[in-house]
Amino acid sequence: MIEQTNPFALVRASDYTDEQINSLWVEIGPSVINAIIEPRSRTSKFILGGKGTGKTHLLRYYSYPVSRLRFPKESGMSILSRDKVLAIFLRATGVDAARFEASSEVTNKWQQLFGVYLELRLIEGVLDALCDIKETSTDEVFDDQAFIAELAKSVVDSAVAECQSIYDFRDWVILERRNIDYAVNNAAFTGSLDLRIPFSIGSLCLPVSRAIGVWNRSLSGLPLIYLIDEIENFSESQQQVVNSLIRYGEGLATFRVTGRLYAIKTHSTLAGGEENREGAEFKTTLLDDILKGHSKYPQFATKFVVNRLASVGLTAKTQKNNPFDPRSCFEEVDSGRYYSVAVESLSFDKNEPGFIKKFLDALVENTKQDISSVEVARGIIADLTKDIPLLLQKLNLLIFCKKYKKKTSNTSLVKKIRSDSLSFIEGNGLGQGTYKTAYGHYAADLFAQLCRESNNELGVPYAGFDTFVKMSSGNPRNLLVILGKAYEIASFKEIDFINGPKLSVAIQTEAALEAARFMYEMDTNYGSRSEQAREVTTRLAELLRAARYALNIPEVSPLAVSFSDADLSTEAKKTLDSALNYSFVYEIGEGRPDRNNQRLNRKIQLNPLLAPRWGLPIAVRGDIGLSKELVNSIFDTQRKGDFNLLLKRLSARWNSPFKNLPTEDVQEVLF
Amino acid sequence: MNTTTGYKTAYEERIRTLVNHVWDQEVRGPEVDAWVNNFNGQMLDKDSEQLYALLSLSRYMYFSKRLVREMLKSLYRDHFEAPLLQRIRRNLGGTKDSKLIRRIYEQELSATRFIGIGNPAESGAHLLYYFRQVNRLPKKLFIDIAGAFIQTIECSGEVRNSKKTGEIRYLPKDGSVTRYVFFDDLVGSGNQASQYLTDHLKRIRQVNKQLDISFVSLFATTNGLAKLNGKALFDGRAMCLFELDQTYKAYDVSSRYFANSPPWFDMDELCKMTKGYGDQLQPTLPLGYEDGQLLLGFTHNTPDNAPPIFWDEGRNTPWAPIFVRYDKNYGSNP
Repeated sequence: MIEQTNPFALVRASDYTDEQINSLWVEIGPSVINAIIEPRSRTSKFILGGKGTGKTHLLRYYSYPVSRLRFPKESGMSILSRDKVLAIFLRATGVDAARFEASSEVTNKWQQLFGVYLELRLIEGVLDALCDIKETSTDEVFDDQAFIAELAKSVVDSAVAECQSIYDFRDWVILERRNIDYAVNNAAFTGSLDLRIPFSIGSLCLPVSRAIGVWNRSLSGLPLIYLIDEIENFSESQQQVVNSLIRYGEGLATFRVTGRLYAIKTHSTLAGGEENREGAEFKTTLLDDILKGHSKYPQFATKFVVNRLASVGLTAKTQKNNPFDPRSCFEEVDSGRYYSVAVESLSFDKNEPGFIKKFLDALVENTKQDISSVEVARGIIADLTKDIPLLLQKLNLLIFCKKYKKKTSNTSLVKKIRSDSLSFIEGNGLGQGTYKTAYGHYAADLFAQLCRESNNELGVPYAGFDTFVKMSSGNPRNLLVILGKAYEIASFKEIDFINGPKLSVAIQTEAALEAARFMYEMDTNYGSRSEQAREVTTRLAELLRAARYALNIPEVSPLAVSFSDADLSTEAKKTLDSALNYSFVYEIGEGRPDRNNQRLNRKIQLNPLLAPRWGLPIAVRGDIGLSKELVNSIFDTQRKGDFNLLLKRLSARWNSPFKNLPTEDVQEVLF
Repeated sequence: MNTTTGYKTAYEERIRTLVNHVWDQEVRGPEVDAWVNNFNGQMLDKDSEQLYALLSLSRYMYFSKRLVREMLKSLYRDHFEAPLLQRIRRNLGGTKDSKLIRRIYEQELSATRFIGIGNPAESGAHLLYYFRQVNRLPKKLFIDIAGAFIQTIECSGEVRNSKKTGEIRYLPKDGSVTRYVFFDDLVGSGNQASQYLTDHLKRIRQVNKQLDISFVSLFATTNGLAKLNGKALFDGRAMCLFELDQTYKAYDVSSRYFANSPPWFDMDELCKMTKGYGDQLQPTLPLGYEDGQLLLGFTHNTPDNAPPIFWDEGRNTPWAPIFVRYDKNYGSNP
């Protein structure tokens, strides 16, 4: 039996030890990291991203205790001068924020208490770091008294003034925090909350920045950053507290707050104060967009996988001159010579594959007299397919569909297509020209059609490390889901593809299908909103599938749709937002105003990780423009009946290219 | 991907999950593949057969070593220890003196013998070894019939230790033993246990009317259990941990195994396939001994009440089993 530890098992970064945060860290490039964290920016930031985009890993990596582990022999002061920032990490779930919600007493009181508690937790992190810095920087002078005196200005508690050192002060903070824990826990039973609050919100975790400056002059002006993870776990009133700290913190401390795409519940501050504004009090970074657009993501993914394998001892982390390449573990679909090897294995009826019959039926349905007879139609088909490889036969039929003229003779068209295809074959698929361009555009879609029509067991294949990297859309967790499934299946079948022969296309496809099912059915259960999101995503995918497997494919590699934002009903907009929040679909770009009417046009694509469920492509090329009626029938859950009807009509049109059918459902040109 | 492939992948995933998390990896992928490849389209088309095979396997109840051991703990705790403790306490007027109760329990336990059904090499007796281990019981509590009783023969009013013909009776070898608990892993039809025990129990009771004789098993079908609870056998003192009612008959209309089945599922087709291959493998029991139809197996053995497509080793016709059945070799005198 081969090694059972799955190197790609899903582990949350929050479950890693500080050491693992460092050992599994893969540098994505300082420019990207700076763009995300902006450690020296004086503006606070919300860093939002889908599940598994690495938010927690990123924050923890920058926190002082983890940074310290990277240079265990250096003094705390030297680490600060290297990092040029003091970053304190706090996970929102660690605060057990729900305790501060459950009460019949006035909300304000609980909100205040939560604020004080949050500050105590943050300052505890700061003090742990300062104690470590003092202990390890023996050559430096630290003025504890001045530090305490500075804080005593805002903290009204005689016990603080009595503190002799930062250690005493840390003890005081811990004691205060415990008092609150005790009182809050008891309040659940006694129904009353009696506490003396030693300071008001913003009077401790922000002025500490000044106190650090007087504690050691060389630290004056050192940026203090609070890293708060998983902000979605804070309620609206608790997020108001964080927003207030962000607002009051100007010049003292800044925040980097991470959360899921739907994490932010409010931008307002305490007591009905003003709302924080994007660009003024805070900035927002969407991690998915950065990672998706990051040109070095494939390299990152490779290193990330190598690290994972090394972590369970499956391969040497780096071998000089011969670095381990995960690509060598995965078989790929041979697309050479028009996919001839792969098509051969599909065992088509060479005399008349099914698609010829479909084309023939579509052709004789045509009202035009010169083609409506079966003999004439068969003649056209023979010219387009005789002695031509199967995939190119399909391409010829597709080109005919696209260039077919209803009012004039198509004889010369048929001849041209045939001669173009023969020249293309003669030139071994090289050379230039529209035929080659058409092949480049449609080959993958047509191969997928052949796979589907052959009714072979495998279905449309999804294979190759690069394919999986593309499918993960910049999200390392998505990559882990696919590779984890591949490893699980291979291990069950006792196949060692890490050290042995490459993993077959069939098993990789199985893994991709399972990954899609996992993501779609098991990994995103968040109640009715996610159910609705799933429903509309299914509709979107069904539309894309109808397009990809149509006789006259309306768009190259259909994985995306476009529509006008103004066309969306309120309900459709809401469900689309949910689908975006659960990462079932992605927004491409930020939408562009239409040239003619200045309306905002949006482009939405299916998450490629889900593509195998419907045999869809993994990369976006064209996008299908949707009419107002169609877009609402997709994204408004109430309009399932309309959608089915519209899809049927569209499908009929895409499969009957020679008939005159209404065209109102799809906007032919939107951009 | 066609619909068949979608289901196939889903069943394979489910089987893998079962193997990894429930079956303690006691079955591996190559074995599953080899077993599925037995279904080569003789009864239905090959794809359908293999899909039915995977579906059946994904619904199979396999009890791994870990699970069987946990069940042995439950069996002892729920069907022996707890009822006895309750009775002792009741007899002591509901006392709360736990030390006293425990002391008397220990006395009662030492006056108890556990006897495996059948030959010591059969599964019932084999499981007693683990039963003793997991419940930390002393070895002296385990015995077989020959070790527990002396055969006697009654001749004209005398009871003599003899092997001559006449009416045989059993006398306990150890007079201090007052309770005998018979044990088996599974009661299927109840025929084997009944054949094995009827005479023994009659002979024991004829001499020792006060003895407390009961039966426990891990699994029993409702019919099998009813048979054992008949007057001639345990007279209502037969119990099991997991009762298998009619819904555990896999191919019955009320079958729970296939209660929530996919749209393409047709019980007649599944039955035709299972029976068709079963006929080739074991003509006398195509759906399992006495038409058992149990989709049930253990780490130590697979009962013949399960259809032979799961366990037959291909002596009549080539076949790769998924669960091994260690057949009883009864020799010439079964």
